[in-house]
Amino acid sequence: MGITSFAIAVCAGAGLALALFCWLARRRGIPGKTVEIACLMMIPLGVFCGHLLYCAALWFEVIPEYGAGIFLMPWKGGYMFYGVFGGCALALWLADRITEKKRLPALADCAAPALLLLVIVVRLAEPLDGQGKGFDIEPGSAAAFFPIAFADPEWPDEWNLAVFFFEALWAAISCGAVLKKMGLVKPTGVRSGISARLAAVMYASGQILLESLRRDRVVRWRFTRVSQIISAVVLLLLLVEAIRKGKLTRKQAVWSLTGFVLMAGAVVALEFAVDKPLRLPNGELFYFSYELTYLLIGLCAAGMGVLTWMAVRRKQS
Amino acid sequence: MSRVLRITAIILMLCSLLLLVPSENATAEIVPIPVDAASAEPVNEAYYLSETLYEDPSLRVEIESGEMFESSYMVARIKIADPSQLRSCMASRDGKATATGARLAQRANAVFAINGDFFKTNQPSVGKYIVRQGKLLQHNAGNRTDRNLDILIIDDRGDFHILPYGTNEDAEAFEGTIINSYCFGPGLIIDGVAATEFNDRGYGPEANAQRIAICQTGELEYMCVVCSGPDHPNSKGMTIQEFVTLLTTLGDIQNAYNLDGGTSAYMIFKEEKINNFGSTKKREINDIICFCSAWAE
Repeated sequence: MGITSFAIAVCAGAGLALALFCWLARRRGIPGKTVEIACLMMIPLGVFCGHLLYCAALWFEVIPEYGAGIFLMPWKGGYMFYGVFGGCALALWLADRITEKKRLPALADCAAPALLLLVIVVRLAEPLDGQGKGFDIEPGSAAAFFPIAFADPEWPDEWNLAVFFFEALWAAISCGAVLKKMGLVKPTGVRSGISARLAAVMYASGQILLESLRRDRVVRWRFTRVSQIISAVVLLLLLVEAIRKGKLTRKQAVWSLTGFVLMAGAVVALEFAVDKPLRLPNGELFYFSYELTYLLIGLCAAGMGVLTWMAVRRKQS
Repeated sequence: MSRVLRITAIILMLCSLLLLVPSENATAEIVPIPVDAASAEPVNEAYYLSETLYEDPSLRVEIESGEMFESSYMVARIKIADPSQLRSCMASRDGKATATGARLAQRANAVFAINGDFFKTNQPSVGKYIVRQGKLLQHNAGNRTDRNLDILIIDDRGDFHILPYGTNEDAEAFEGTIINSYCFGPGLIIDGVAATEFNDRGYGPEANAQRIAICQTGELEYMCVVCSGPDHPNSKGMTIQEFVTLLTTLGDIQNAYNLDGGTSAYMIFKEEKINNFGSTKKREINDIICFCSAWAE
């Protein structure tokens, strides 16, 4: 087992994320003991749950390749960010339970921008591991320049869309929005938990489009990308939570859910349209261009995010 | 000068002609491509004799077109001089990434190529035995032998062997050196006998679809056939049975193996996809089967 440059970048990202988390938590008066316990648990639980989700999503590949023990071998296989987030959330909950401080929403608010910072660093480091590639870009074409595209270090004549850069950029925008919401230095007084939910909405809606652009070692079930599904589920859970808390009237809830499901269905249909034509009523075939397809996916993902956020940000009635 | 010296000088000058007479092919030869080579030598464009014909002393590829069952089809007839010229090329070393077929053909310096079996999307319950350029990538027993896929083995002599409902044990018992193996199928023609019954093991035998197959027609002689599908203008696509019928009209085939069709079907010549049939769509795939030149000048 050697130490790779990608592993060094991941460690650096985790260190920066923990530092930001501790700094934000101290500014918000969260007890030091709670923060320490949370930090101690976030690393092992984040690693374990990130690896667990990867293995669970690809069990039919990794178990034949590595055996059932792969679940306990984080140095083999891979990780998924949603698993890391889940592990960190579990760590925060355990730390809050152990110290009985009942500050879980505030802890989540502090962890959210820290995790987004981790995403920024890891995404920017992806080319070191041969990842972060989107579809082919013709060398010499108008798009063949960084940061739109980048040349594969192993095959310098091959250019691909720089998905890693766009994911890092979106994570940075999300992090900035969350920090503005909660206040970087001084708390803005927004209710606890809202900043974490904003982070979840922005990250999940961005992933619906960005995951679709990937052409590297994407975690997928046949032609379905697992991170897209999880992103839609995260948004739906937040929307349902807002509805259950009475933040929407019955009519608003029906419209929101209907709109959400329609847009999610449109994303599914557009994923097929990436490489299949649409048969018109007169029998002719209409071929969606890549640009049109991904633009529509982006709009639907944005719509799902906006619908969810509009419900989440409302005060409980 | 003595007579002996004069005769010696004449003989020496005659011998020097051996070195001085120019020869176009003085250093050119067929050089086998190492099994672990990432790519073959760059192709000499001069050997592309037309839009449908490539010929050098090590490789001949000729493309034909036709129509049958309300669908268009293309046939590539290939003859190689060395088994190492029939190769695979993956989008990444672990086979988990994807890229367009044309990108992979450029990478491999392939004269001609088709898609592989897109092994990463196969059902998890099905047995798989995947070898690429002599390296075993994946092998799992699966849990329903009646759903097992037919396995195509390409050995180090460039010969095809199709194992119906193949299992790990069948592949491991193969007596020979496996260079590449594929798990999709079905075997359409096995040892000269055309299949007539097809149960659905993920390839929709009754559906009208774009189909692609690789065939061996003789020693170091091959044929690749692709038909258009319902995603193409004015095309119905073929069922598996219709596709087999098409194959039987194209010549004497020893073994023919169905590969991943639909939008995954690629036929690449001169590093461009040629089986567009009016469509602009290109799906990214795991790997290609390619034919490379072994002519070293």
